[in-house]
Amino acid sequence: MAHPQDDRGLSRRGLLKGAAGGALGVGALGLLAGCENTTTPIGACEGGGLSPLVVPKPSGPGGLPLPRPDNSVTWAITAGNEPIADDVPDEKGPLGIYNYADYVDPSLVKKFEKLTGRKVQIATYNSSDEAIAKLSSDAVAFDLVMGLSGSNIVNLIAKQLIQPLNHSYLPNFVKNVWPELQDPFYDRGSRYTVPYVVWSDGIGWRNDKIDRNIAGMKVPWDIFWESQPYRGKVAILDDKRDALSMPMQRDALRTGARPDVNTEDPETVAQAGKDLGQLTNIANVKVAITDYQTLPEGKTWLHQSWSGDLLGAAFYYMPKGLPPSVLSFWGPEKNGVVQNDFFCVGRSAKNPALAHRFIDFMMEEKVAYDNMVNFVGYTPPQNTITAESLIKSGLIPRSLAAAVIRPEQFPVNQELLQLSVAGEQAWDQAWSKFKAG
Amino acid sequence: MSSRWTWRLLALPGIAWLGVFFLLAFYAVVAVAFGNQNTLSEPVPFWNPLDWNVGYMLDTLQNIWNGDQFLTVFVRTFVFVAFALAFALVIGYPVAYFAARHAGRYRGLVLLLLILPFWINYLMRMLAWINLLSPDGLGTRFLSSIGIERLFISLNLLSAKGGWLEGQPFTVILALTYGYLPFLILPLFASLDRIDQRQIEAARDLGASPSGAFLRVTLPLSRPGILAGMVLIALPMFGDYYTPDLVSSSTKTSMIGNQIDQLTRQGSEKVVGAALTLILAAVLLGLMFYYLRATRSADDLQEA
Amino acid sequence: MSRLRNPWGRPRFLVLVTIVYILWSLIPVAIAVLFAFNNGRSRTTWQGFSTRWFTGASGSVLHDPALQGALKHTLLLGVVCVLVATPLGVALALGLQRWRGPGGGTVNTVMLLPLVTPEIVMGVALLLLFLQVLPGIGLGSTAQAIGQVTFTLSYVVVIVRGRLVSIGKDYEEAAADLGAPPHDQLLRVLLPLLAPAIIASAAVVFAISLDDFVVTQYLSGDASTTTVSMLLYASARAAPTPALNALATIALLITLATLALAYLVYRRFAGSDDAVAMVGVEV
Repeated sequence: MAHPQDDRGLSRRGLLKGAAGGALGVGALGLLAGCENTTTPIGACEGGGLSPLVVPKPSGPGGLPLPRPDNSVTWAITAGNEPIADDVPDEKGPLGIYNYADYVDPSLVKKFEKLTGRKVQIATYNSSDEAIAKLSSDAVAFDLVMGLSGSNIVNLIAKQLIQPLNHSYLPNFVKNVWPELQDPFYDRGSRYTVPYVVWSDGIGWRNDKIDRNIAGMKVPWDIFWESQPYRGKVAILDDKRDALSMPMQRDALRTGARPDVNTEDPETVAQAGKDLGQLTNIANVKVAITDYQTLPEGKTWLHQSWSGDLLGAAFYYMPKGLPPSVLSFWGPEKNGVVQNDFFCVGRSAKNPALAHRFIDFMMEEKVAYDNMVNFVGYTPPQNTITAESLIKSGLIPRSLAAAVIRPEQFPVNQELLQLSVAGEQAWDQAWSKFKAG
Repeated sequence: MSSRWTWRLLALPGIAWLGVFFLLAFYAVVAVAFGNQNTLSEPVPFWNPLDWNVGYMLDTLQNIWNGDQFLTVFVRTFVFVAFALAFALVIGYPVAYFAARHAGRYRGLVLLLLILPFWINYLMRMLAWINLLSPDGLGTRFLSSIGIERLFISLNLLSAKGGWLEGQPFTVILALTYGYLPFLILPLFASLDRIDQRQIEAARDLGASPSGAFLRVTLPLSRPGILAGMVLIALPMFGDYYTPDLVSSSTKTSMIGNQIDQLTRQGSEKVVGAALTLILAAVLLGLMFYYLRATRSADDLQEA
Repeated sequence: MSRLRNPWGRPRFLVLVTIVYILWSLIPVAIAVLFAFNNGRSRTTWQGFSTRWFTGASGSVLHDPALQGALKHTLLLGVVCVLVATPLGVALALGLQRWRGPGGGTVNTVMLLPLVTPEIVMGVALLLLFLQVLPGIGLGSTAQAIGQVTFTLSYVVVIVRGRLVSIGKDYEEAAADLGAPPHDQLLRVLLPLLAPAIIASAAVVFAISLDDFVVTQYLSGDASTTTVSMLLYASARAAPTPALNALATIALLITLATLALAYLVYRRFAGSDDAVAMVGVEV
């Protein structure tokens, strides 16, 4: 395919110079120098002005740097987007929260409502892409956004969608949250975000329907490509990053290499898309994030899962008479995806103090614990909630022990992080191609 | 004459409204499709046709031309719609015929029952069906008990017992039929109702057999109604994305509406989504204008 | 209606098909309504009769702010849509019907286009309009209302024009002969004659607005702009309780009540044949 910067038509400059024909001209804003009739975004055509001796790192949306574990970023507090003052009393609400569906215990929300005397309204999204797309329209003003992660942070900052936090409202943060996550590389100083829960990408299945020792396989991800017997009951996550990174992890596990789940190489991504596409024929694969419901109900038997969903299923969604031990989870020990998501406050939030109060509420020990074991199943990064204590308490079935996340898992695994615009495009294309069947 | 302008003045607010919120909205799609994206992946529309960037549109068209995903989805959508139309006609025509010509004193009641689905929320109807077709649902048990399940499995339309909602194209086609049938029956009814009984009687008097009279008089006379009705439901069916989403979350059944929805509302490729929307609208334009012409001439006949 | 006895023997087959179709068409909804009264949490297994999902202490429509909010917002949009679309549509219908000179055909075509435009095209177009052209309005309740008015307008025009055609010009001409000025003709002769059609179209607009999904979802803003349709759709991906069935049932009853009311009003003014035509709008 032609390089995007090739002239695909005659430009107005050409016309002015007397070239024949053509009526297609330079972009209205004059920013398209050399970019007529292309699919290269505006402003991405010119070089970076960097010294020719340096290979430029890909930059993210809006030209911002891409945070990586070895390249941490501190987001500035700009005039015009300052955190709220200390000791602002609760606004009258209602508190507008934007979150994944079924991702916070409704009874805890009610508890918060009773505590503060304010109402809470929750709107839901199905994928982080949808959330960013919705948030990007200025008129949509949520007070609190939950469930987004390091793969979206640059978008949030670049599009100026969130406001900095005032930590005087969040005493539970320093008190209760894992020290490892107090100063993340993607948001030094936790200026804009504080963590919500942590999870790993893995495989969830019904061990009473699938008779294989998936955890014992050399490459457990292969089970998806061998899932013909369970046709129609196999699903992968409805998130382009998680889904497309699965074939990458599979390939890497075969060779023992470390996959780069943040790769921007269009060929690798396209290949991952093709590999996923094979699942369409093999198993008529579904794309969903409701494993916490469909696995217990038997509508799916094999699901690419976020670890917390399996525990949520075990704690809350099991139908009567079905023990949670029929559910199993496997997540990679290393080189897999282990990540956290966060809370952030909308820039044009009408109830920012209330939003802060909700965050602090959710970071209380008891509340975080209840949220996990009564409903969501995701591990909150709380100091007092350890995998050992949970397992010892008998709440977690043996088959799901891997679904509780420990802080030690973070350094040896990876996170799905924000990509450059070109990188996002490559993943978007592969994803939309896969979704077309 | 001042009264000429009175009437036009009355129409002005409506015209202005449609101009801004319909025509301008449509032009916004054009401007975005022929625009570009900035580094925040936001679409930047190009309003001036001289500035249009055909890069994305060409890309999308090339995707179709090369037989890539968009072509696959378009073809699949056509196939689904074609089958759904066929089923709808096969079921809907006899029902409309009955209501128009043989309902007798039950006509009012039958019409009421036929009109009822119109006013029930489409999603509620579809979800009700999905509930019935879930593995332990009443519908699944019923279909299994009367042997249909076994039949479909043997015809390879169903892959497993109780597997109605496992991403079968057939289930989606059936859901589309179910969803849009009511919208076909009423135009069919209207068209059949208009046929003068005397013409049929004349044919019988001239010696035609009952089926002959039907085939040579009733059917041809109802043809405009059939075509108009089918076009009427084909148009929304082409843009449907929620039916495949509800009935099957499999990638094998995604329709062009799903792709547009994914790109526009759920992703960061609004430019491509707009381009695809334009292509879809262009494809359907012919159908749209055909329907408008067909109903206009019917109206003219009525007014005459 | 001809009472000719059909010599074909076909009615039996037709009756069967019709009955099967009607059952196929309506029974699922009847079951969905039934399960709104289920005693337990299941939507597929009957566990006894109860109204807990309507008025019960917890999780019911009465006590769940999310469900209530959606219902209220849906009704609000419906009312606003009627209040805006009906006058606009009536005026447009009058203007179109009495249009003299060029341009009338074009306006008529433009007016009819929303009726045949697939909803997703409308949704994308309106979304881009409110994001790129009118960011001052942006997404949210206002946008949703505007979007709904835009495509329900055509229904009003079609219905009112139909009535205008059957009224004809006689009454106006009679009033003019008696010396009534044009605006009097309009207000005191024409509008009252049009009243049944106006009411009918208002009812139709309300019903369509209540059931609308695509445009409403595309133009939705924050949590307070969720409608019943959006909740139903989102529930397909979450863990719904029969409260959702209850919500849908309530919305359904409101729609049917509105239509029944309009039908009665229309019939009282216009006679029963027209009333049937009213509800079969696309005919």
